Amino acid sequence: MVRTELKFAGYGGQGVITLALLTAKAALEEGKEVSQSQAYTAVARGGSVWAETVISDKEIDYPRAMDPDYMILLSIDAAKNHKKELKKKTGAFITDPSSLKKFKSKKKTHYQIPAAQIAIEQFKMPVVANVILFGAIVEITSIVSKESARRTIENTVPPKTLEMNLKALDEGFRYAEQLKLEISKEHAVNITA
Amino acid sequence: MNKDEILKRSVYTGTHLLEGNVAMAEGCIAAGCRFFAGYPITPQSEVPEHMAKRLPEVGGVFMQMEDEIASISAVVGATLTGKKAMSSTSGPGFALMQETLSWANLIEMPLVVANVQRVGPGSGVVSLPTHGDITQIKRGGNGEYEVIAIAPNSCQELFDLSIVAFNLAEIWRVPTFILSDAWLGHMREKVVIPEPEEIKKRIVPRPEYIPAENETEGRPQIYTTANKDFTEFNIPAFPPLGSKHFPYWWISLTHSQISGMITETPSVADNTNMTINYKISKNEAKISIVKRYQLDDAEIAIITYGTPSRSALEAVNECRKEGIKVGLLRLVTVWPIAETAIREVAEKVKQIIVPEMNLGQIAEQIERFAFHTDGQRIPVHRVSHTAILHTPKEIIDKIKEIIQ
Repeated sequence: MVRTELKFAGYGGQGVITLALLTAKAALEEGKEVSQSQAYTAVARGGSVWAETVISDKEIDYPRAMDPDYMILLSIDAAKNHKKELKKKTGAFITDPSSLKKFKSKKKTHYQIPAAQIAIEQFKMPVVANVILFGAIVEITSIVSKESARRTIENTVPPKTLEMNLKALDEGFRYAEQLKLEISKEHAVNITA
Repeated sequence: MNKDEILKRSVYTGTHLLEGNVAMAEGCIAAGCRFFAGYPITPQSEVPEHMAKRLPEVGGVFMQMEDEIASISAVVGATLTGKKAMSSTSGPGFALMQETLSWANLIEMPLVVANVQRVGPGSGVVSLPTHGDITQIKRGGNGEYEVIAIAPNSCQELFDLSIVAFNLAEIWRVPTFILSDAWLGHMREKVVIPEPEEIKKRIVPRPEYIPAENETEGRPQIYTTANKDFTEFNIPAFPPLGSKHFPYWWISLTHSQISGMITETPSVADNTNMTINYKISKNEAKISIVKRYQLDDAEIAIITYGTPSRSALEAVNECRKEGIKVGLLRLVTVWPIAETAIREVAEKVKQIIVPEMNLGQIAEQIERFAFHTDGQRIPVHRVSHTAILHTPKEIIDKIKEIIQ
């Protein structure tokens, strides 16, 4: 992996910065180089917020995202403001339909992870949505191994909630794996058609 | 707590994901900073926040002051008693500190101030980076003085160069500044911090004031003296106020460098100013830290400092792939201006590009030295922004524009 750029956007309180931090910490677990930056305004709750993580095996010169590989969008405003920044042919969108329903991309791969919904329905805990999404991002992007993602969660969450968070992480892995399979099947159908 | 325990506690050994402001605070603590006075101001508030937590663990003192004027005065007070002390602020707070910093310069005080710059003038934009305070650092106070300012460009450097900043303050007995910005201070990166024993080897401790070695005609010699041509300087250790050997005062009126007493004699005042200024500017080649990158065969040199140097590095790498002969001279220390290194580069290249997060405060300096040996002036192109960090593409576009 030479250089992977992830950009996250949503509104304050959704855990946009937490997600960027988790990916950065996970990259560090594997001894990779990492640069993480974020919008810094009064965005405790409600306002637009973005964050980005650049991960590389080599030293990172320019530490900001220049040409993102993955765009993680969690709100309508975020989609409006940041959709155009994903220019790479191989670039992919990751969105949560719970907070961003009507989002379509004609040319780019689009992974819909209903993390907030899963968090409420399966875990009865909205707060684990982040960890589900983190699991899905790791599965989709392969920025780090699942083992490193687990260690990251172990080192981040309070011990009392560890078990639940690890389950949420596994659910993120599982959902994304399934989705990847479906998308690749669709893709194969499209090619033969 | 014994010394070993303090050393151990003061070094946050390991590989961490650290925010720039925190990495800088850790660097300063590792460097031996044991007193911090400050006032919250975005984008540097994480520095006092972290200091408040960490300083008591290493036997240090953290003081939250009522404003930046009080902060720098408290830092001066702590330095007078022999502590390594610092404050940290952003542009508007830095402006408030100028009166006291001017005096600290007059009495050659080894202290450190970090300026995590944000957009100005006025209250500016609290969350956006700029390098608008570059000139203010040495021209913000009354009178004339030369300082040392160091500009890290990564979280790792915010740690490493903070130690260097404290060392330079001790070696040259001068207020030293760490230049960060809103963007660097809030970025998180991998920071590798070595074992305490390793850090110990890097630290320059406060030199001990030994009266017998620092006396002129029976009086303590507390200020720097120079030879007639200002080529050699004798910098005495900074004596702690109120100690047995130095129960004296420090005055804010101009003093004689030799007697330490107030003077109104023009030639004596002149000598004081020349000594404190030339001590730094004439030793530029010894103080300056620069990094050279791909300059050997370069026809275009980018000269820059701080965060834009990372954009520049990416630009150089991209241009080299296309066979464009471009190199980078990075000014790790911004002040004193690295005249020797800049002249050396200017002699060999055809054009210079200076990307800065201001409208050319250092470009103005570089223009003074942008000549070939035959006296021919070479063009210095500015890529100026405030509030915006240059993208590598912007610098590449400029390079391509000027080679046509």
